[in-house]
Amino acid sequence: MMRCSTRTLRLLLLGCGLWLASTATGLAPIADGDIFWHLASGREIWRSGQLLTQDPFSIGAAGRPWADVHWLFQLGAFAVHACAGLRGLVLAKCALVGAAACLFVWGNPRNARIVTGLGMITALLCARQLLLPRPVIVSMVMLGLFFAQLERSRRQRGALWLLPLAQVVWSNCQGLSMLGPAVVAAYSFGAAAERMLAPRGYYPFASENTASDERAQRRYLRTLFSCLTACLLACVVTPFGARALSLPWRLLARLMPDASNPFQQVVENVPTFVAAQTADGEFWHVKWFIGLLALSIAARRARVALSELLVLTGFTALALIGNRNLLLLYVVATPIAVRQLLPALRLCRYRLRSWQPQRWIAGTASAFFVLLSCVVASVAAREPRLDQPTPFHFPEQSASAIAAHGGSGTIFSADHHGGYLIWALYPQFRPYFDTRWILRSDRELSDYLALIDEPSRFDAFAQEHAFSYVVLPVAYPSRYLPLVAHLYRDERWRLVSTNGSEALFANRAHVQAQAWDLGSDSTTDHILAHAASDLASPELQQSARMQLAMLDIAVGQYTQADRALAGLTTPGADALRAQAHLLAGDLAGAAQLAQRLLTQEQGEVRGLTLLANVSIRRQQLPEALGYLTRAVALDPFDDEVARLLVSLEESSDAH
Amino acid sequence: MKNRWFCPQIGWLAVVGLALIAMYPAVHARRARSLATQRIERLEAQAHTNVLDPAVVLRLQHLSPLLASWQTIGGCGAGGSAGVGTVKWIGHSTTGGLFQNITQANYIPFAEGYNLTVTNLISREIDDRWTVGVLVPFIHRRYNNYLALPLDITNTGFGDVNFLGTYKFGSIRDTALTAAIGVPTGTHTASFRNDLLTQEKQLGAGRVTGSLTLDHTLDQTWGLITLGGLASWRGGKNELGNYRAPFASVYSYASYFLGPFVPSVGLALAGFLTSDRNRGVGQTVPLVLASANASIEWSNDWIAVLLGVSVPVGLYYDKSVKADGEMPPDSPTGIQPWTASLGVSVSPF
Repeated sequence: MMRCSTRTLRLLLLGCGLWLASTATGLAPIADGDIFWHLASGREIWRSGQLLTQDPFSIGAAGRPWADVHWLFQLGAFAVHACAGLRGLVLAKCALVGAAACLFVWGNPRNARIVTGLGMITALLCARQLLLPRPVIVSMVMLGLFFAQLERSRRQRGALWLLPLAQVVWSNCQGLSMLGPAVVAAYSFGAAAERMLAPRGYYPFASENTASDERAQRRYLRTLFSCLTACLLACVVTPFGARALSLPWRLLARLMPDASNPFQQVVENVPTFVAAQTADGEFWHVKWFIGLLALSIAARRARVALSELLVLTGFTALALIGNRNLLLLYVVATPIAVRQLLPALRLCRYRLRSWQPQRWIAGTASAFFVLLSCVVASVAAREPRLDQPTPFHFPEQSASAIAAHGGSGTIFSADHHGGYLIWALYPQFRPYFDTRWILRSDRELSDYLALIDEPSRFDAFAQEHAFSYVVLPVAYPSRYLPLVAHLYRDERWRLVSTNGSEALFANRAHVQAQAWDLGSDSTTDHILAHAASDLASPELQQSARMQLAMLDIAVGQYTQADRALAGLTTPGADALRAQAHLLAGDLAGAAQLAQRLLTQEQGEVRGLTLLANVSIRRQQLPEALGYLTRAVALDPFDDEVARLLVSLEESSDAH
Repeated sequence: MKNRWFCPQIGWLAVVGLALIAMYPAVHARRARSLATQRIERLEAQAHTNVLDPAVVLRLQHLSPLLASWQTIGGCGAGGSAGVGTVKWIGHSTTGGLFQNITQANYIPFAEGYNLTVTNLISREIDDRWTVGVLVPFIHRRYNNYLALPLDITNTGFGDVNFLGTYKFGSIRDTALTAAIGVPTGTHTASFRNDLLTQEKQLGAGRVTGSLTLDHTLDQTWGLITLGGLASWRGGKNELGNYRAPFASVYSYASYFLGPFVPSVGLALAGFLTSDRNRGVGQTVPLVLASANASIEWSNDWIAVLLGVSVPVGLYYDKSVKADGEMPPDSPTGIQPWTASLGVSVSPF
């Protein structure tokens, strides 16, 4: 009895520790725009008492049929937000992340759980930027439940009858719910293949289950196929019926790498290794994770179960074609990798038995757990407040300004701002675009991107749609800066609000408001004073100043950019200063600042590209190419280097 | 388990697949760096147009994509032990990848059988002067009605692996010196019914071999002319008393640019120091040979394919040498067994 209680207590402690550490990996304020249109949908469903079957929110897709398969998630999110605000949403997300981690660990054999737990926390810590309060978190929990039950059923302990019930909930939370039947199908196929081929000696995989007698194996196979059938049927138990089934396939088609696929330009759809080239080291861990996965399979002399191989292949492919799926690969593959390592770990333990390995393992695992927890806690502690969205990611000031001005109308905004504007301003104002990609065609997205990249197209488009306002970001991403500069110069628009990170333009014909002059010292001082009072942390204030400098540079106010950057000595600030000098024609000043950048660790590539730019303007092509060669050696994927090379080649071809 | 060999292979495929995926970013970065550097070099070349003689500049620009034709280390023929009867790779080939891989299959039919040699050459440019590579031959020799008996024999396996190094001279690297050292990885003791096969039927020499090749390419507006010579030490005498005589050859090829196709023709002349010997007994083999070669290469940015044929003619043999009882399959003078060759070159990553 006492022994049982000790074991229970140990399990409880392990579970709590794992849950707490996994939960903490997700502690970060809301940084993703999708949650706001989910909240708006939940609010609308709650208000009207009906599900949304057409798009009520945007003017670009107004009235189009919308299979809103996320309705259950949206209602849940809205309820949590109504009770506990954004902080409640973040905490609920973290709790679900912790639950998912526990489920995945629970699915593994008892002697692998500690290692699985440590691996899971590490994987979640690496992928924490993908732990967004979105329906994918529900998918994570569901996958955890599916894998836990399927793995336990290999050991004749699972309760597979739970899965179809879970599938009903999942199907009403996210389009990715088809992963449920896909996973069950992988296990079923593996079991069927083993049963058919193993007796003939043609089965090159590890055994699928531990059942020793024929009858148990037959029962296992029958249960799996029954579960698969029930899960497939559960997929259509949504208010949208069979229509919802096409959603995952349409989404998958949009992830397919193809130069003509505009959806590849959506940041979360970018193939993982492409994102790794540009995302400032966010995905440094992917190659190591996959390498370790390969090693774990090799450690068991490549004896892997067919179901595991299918699951790994599927999730790896999904993760490679779109970085949004990386999180699912991490949580699914970690327990499999640990299971593969088990025989090797057992062998190590046996060979080192004279060293009393149990103690060493417990000690090392505890130390690693404490270390991981410290890392997780320190990372979480650096995050801004949880009750507010991540600074600079959402057009809070613009939405407030529009609301304060009153009236109604339409807004052209960055796609990822659309959700927030719907949440803050619907039904008075509706944006043209948001991130509900399922409502948009390839052509529409291509046209939208063309508007951003070629701002001269915007005039006719704006006239056609009679926009009252345009809301654009400055630095997240900087792709909108040419349009910002275009509108700032356009007589038909006036800049009516900015905090440096977002710019609100009002249509002169629709809105009467005072225009802001970014060339005036008082405007810069006013914006900086607001940033100092609104943003508590010095790092955020620095970031606000740098974004204001970017905005000033984009609209040609180089002196004001210098003013905004006064006192800042970071490489980023120096790079912006040098860019301002370069564009103002002060080549010597730009070169001096660029030389200073070369001495700083993080500024070398930027320094080199600036020096190359200076040399090009001085007609010193060999020197420019020398700097570019050095920059390429440091970072072959640098955007600025690529742009300079293309422009040099075009100019060379023209000659 | 019938398929014990096959069993773990699928799992290992997964391991290799995952390992390749894990390595992809590093390889891709290297490739991107290399491509960007090439673009910068092209721009550098064009940047000098103001100071260089326009004619010279044009010539260099014209040649730059064709440098591959002699930047390789001579194709799979480079490490071979024969100066004639092999098809030399003449054409654009491929460059720019992490490494170059040339796979070339040579088929030589004769009266009572055939030889099929598949050579795989992997090479890597260290810089614009140095290239290193390794050549692995896989040989299948078949002899019908062996010793006039109603039975056929085959000898199949890896031949002698060659390690190669090339150094390029000249301002446009148009002269290349290739040194090759062959290590005795191929068996030289294959036997049939306790009787050792004759030395030319063995897969390896049983001794270290070596060769030195010098290639010079003359660029013309219409194509390329390649002149070269080869000196080869074929291993000398091994512990079984088998002797392979050293030889030297000179050759010349002319090729013509026809868009992605490069047809070429060439002549080679080779001379052996003495006759080969099988366990101390001389063999009646030609000592002086000439060969006519023709090939056509098709290439794009990623792959090059070569189809070629070589027809050697024996001009002279040592009449004082008597055959060792086993009649030579063909006459030592006149037309010798011809070689048909198919090669594929890629420069991945």
